[in-house]
Amino acid sequence: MSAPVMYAGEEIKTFIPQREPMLMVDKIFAANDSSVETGLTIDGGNIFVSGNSFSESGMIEHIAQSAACFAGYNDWINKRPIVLGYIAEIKKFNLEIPAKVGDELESSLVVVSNALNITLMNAVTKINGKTAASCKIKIFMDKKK
Amino acid sequence: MLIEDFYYVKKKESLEDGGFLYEVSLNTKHKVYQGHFPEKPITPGVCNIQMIKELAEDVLSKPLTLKTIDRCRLTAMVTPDGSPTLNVKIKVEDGEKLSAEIFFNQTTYMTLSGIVCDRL
Repeated sequence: MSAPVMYAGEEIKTFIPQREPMLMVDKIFAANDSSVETGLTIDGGNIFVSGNSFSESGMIEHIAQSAACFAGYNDWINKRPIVLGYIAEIKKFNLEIPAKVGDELESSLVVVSNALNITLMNAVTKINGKTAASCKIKIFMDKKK
Repeated sequence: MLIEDFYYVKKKESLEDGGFLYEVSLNTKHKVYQGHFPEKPITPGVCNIQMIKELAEDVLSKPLTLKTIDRCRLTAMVTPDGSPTLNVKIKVEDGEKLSAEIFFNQTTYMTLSGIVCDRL
C-alpha cells in the first residue's frame, strides 16, 4: 500500500534545482515545516544503475535531494526563492538492502535542527516497508545569492 | 566505473602508512553537469563518494559496497572548472575499515570514514 502522492514528476522541479540526469526524487508524499516524505522509482536508465543494481551513492543522492525537497517546499510555501543546496555532512549511513531496478524507494526525513542555512535531518529509506538505508544528513542551503 | 568517464586516474602511488595516493582528473564535459546544476556546474558530493569507493575497489582488487559511513564531511565545493585535478588518499585497514580524503594543494574537499564489504 502506498501513500497518496502530493507532487510527482515534473512538479518536483518546483522545489529543487537538480535536473536530469541527476534528479533523484520523483514523488513527494507529504511535506511540512518539520518533515518530508519522498519517493523514487528506480528506472533502468538511472545514472546510478549498473546492471540491475542502484548504487549506495545513488541512495545517498536520493536522501540528499529529499532533504532539498524539504527546504525547497518550505521556501516555496513561504514565497522565498528556491536556492542551491549542498551536502555538508553525512553521519551513520547504513545500507541494509541495496536497491535494484524497479524498486520504489520511500523516504522519511525529520528535522533534528534547523539554523540559518544549515539543516540537519534524520533519514530512513524503505523498500516495500523494510528499511533499506538510514543516515543523518546535514545540508547547506546557499541563500546568499 | 559506475558513471562512465566521470573521472580519469592519472597516477597511483603507495604511501608509507599502507595507504595509496591517487591523482585523478575530472571530465569537465560530463553530462552529470547538465543537471547539477544547469547554470552552475558543481561536482555532486555523492560522485566523489562513488569515486572513493571505486578507488577502494582498486586497492582491494574486488567489487565493494560501502556498507556504512561513520562520517563524511564535505568541507569545500568541487567544481569541474575550479578543481579539475584532485588527489585522493585511500587507506583500507583489516580489509574493511576505509578512510579517505580528497584534497588538492592546501584545500581539503572531503573526508570519509566507513566500512566496506564484498559487493552486496
